[in-house]
Amino acid sequence: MAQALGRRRNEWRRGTSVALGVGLTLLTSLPSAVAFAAKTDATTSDKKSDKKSDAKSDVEDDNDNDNGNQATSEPAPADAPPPTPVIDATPAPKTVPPAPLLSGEPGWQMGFFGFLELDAIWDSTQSFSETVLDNTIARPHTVAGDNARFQGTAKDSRLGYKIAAPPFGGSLKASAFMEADFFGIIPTTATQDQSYVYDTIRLRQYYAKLETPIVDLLVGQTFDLYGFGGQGFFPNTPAFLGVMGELFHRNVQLRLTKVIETDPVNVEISVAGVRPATRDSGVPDAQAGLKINVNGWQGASAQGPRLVKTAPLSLGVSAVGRKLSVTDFEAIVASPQTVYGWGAAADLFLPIIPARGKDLSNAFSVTGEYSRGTGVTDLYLTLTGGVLFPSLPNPKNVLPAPTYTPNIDPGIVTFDANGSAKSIEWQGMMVNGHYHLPMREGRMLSISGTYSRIQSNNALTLTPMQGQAFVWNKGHYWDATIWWSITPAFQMAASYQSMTQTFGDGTVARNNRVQGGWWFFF
Amino acid sequence: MNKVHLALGLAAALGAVGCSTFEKGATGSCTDLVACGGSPVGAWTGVVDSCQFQPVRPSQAIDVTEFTQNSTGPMTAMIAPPQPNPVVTTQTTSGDWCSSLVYNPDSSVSNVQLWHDAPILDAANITYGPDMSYLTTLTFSTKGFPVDRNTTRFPQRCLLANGAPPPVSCSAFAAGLTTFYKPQSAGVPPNFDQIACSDDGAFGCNCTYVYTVVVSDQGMWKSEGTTLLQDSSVFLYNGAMLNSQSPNTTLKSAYCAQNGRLQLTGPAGGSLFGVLGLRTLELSQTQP
Repeated sequence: MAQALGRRRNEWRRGTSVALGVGLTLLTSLPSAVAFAAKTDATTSDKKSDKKSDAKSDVEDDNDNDNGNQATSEPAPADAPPPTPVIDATPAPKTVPPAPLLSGEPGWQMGFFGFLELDAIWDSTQSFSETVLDNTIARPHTVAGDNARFQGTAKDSRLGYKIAAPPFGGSLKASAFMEADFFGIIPTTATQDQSYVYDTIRLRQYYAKLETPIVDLLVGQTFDLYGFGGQGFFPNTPAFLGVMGELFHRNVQLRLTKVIETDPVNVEISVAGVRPATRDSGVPDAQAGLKINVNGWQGASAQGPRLVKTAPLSLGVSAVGRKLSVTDFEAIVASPQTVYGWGAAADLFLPIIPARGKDLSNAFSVTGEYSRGTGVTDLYLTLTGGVLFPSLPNPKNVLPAPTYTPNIDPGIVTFDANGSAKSIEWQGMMVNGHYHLPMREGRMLSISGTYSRIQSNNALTLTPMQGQAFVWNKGHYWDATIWWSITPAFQMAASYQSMTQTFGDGTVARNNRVQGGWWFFF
Repeated sequence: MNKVHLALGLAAALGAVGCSTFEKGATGSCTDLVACGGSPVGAWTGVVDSCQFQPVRPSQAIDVTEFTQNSTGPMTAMIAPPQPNPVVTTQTTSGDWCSSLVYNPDSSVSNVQLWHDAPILDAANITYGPDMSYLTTLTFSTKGFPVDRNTTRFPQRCLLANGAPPPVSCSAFAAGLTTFYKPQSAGVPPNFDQIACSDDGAFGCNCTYVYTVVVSDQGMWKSEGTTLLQDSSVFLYNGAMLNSQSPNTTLKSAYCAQNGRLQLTGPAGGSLFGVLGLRTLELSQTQP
C-alpha cells in the first residue's frame, strides 16, 4: 500500500508542477486571490475556520446590504431638515470571496495529466469516422465499401485533473478524478472542417472516491466494473478502444470496493449499482467483480497508447445483471415487456517475461479477455451488429404505417416473429501481446499485436429476411504496431489494423486501416 | 543514433500517410474486359461469361410512389432484394416479420412482399441493328439458389391477423400467393413463380418460390471509339415501368466486337445497361 501511495505521488508530481504553473498564471490575473494565497501557511483546521468565517462574513455582508437598503427606503420625518449630502472620498473596500481551493494548500494534492495526440488514419473503405470500435463496415461492391478514406484528428487528446483531500481522521481519504477528450457530439449539420477541427469536449470520467478502512466508495462516471475497464486489462494498441469484441464502456455508478492486501496477493472485491440500459426498467443494473493481483510477478503494462509501466499479474472475473423493460410491440401500446440480461467476463494480465525491477528490457506481456452475455450489447462500445427493431405489423395496410417507438437503444433487445421481446446474445474474446526491446530499459521501442473476435448466436434469427443483409453476426479484428518513445514524454507509433464482418447473406466486409499516431504525455 | 531516430520517424509517418487513395467505383471483383471497339451490329445471344455483384439497397433506393404502390398490388420486380424500407438511405427497421401480408378469410391475398435474393443473369438477347436501333432482353433468376434463399416464413400470427380462420391451409395460402403475383400482361413472367408452401411446424407456413426478372430495353445506339452509347426509350422490369430504376442518361459501356464475340464493361466502375450489379458481359454472335 505504501508502495502504491509512493508511486501515486511520483506520478502526480509532474502534473502538479503543471497545475502550479497554471495556477500561478491564474493568480496573476486575480490580485485578490494573491492575498488569499499568502495565507497558505495556515493549518488545515485554521483554513476551515477561515472558510467558515469568510462564508459567514459574506452572508453578513449581504444582510448588511439588505439592511442598508431598508434604511434608505424609510421616509424621513416631515419636519426634519434635509440631510446634508456627504461625499465619502474613500472607496468602500471591495469584498472578493476567496477561491475555495488553490494549489499549494497544505495537505491537498492536485495535478493535471493527459496527452496531446495526433492520428493520421487511412482506411480501405469509407465505413468509419475516426473510431472503428464495433461499428459496421460498409458492404463490398458499394462506393463506400470499395473506396478509401483518409482522416487526421487530434480528438483523442486528453485533459485530466486529480484532486486528493488531506486525510481526515487519519484514515478517511477523499479524492476526485476528472478526464475529458474531444469526441463530443458533433451536430449532423457540421461540415467536415468543423467536424475535424472545431472539436467539442466530452466528459469521459468524473468521479469522487472515499477510501475508508472498511470499504472504498466510488461515485460518479467511470468505466464499468463489468470487464474491469481501466484497471490494467486494456490492449496495447493505438486503435481507439475498445477494439471489436472488447468490453469497453463508461457509465454513471456507485461502487463499493474492498481491497484485502497481503504481501503475495491483493484481492479486490467490488459491487456496483450502474445506470440501467433503459431508464424505464426502474432499477439500476447490478455489477460485481473479483480481481486478484500477484504482487511478486510484475511485468510491462501498456494501456492503449499510454506509456509502459510495471504492473502485477492480474486476474479479474466480473458479471452484470439487468432488467430490461421495453415498450410493447404493438401499435396501441400495452404493458411493457420485460426480459433479463446478463453477462460474465474474465480478464487476465499475464507477464510472460516479467520485468526486472524497473527495467522492462525484453519484457513480454499478454492481456486477454473473454466475455459472454445477452442483453448487454451496449457494453461493447457502439455494437449493434446492425440489429434494429422490426416494423410493426400493419394488417389493415394503413398509410402511413404505424411505427414503433422504442424506449431502449437499438441492438440490445428486439422482437421475434411472435412479437415477444428477446435479448441479443454476443460473446467476445480479445488477446493482446507486447514486447519491449532492450533499449533504454525497455521504454524506447516496442511491438504489439492484438487479435479479437465477436459473434452472436441469435442476431440473425431475430431479424426478418429483408433486414438480414444489414446484420452481421461475426466479426474479426487484428492489429500489429511498432512503438517508439523518442523521449519519455514524446511517443509515436505506426499500426496496421484489419477487420472483417460477416453479414447475414454471407457477404464478408473488410476494412484495412493504417494508422500513425503521435503523443505528448504530461 | 539521431539519424536512425529521424529515419524511423519518417518511415512511420510515411507509412501512415503514404498509402494514396484510389477511386475504383464499386467494381467488386469484376475486372474490366478489353475495349477495342469494332462493329456491334448483329444479334448476340450466347452468354459466354458475365460478372455480376450483388446490388444492395440503400444504394438503389426507390421512390415513395413505387414503394407504396405495393399497397394495391405486387411491387414491381427489381434486381436488388427488397429492404425493410427502400425509400430511406439508412435503415430504420429490421423488416416486417409478416412481409406486409394481408391474408383474407376467403384465402385470397390482398398484399404481400415476398423476400427475394438478388437474382443472377440467366440469359441475354441483345440486337444492335444497322438502323442504329437496339433491343436488349436480360433475364435474371434465382433458380438454382439454395432453398433458404428462396423462402419466406409466415408465422401463424401473420396468417390470422386479418381474420382467416385457423388452421390455415398452406396449400390454399400458396394458391392465394400465386394469384396475387399473376402477371398483368402477357409475355412477361410472374415475379414469383413455382410458389409452394408447407407447414412450418408451428401453425405457420414456409413458402418457397423462384424469382425472375426480365429487363428489356430498346432505343438507339451509336459508338464513339471503344465506347458504346445507348439512348433508352422503353425500359421495363417484367413488363412494368420502374421510374427510379430506369436510365435517365445515355447508357455507356466499353466494348470490343471482334471474332464473333462482344465484350461489354460498365464504365468507370459502374454497371452495364443501367442494371446495378451487372459489371461485365461476354456474348457470342447468333449465326444468321
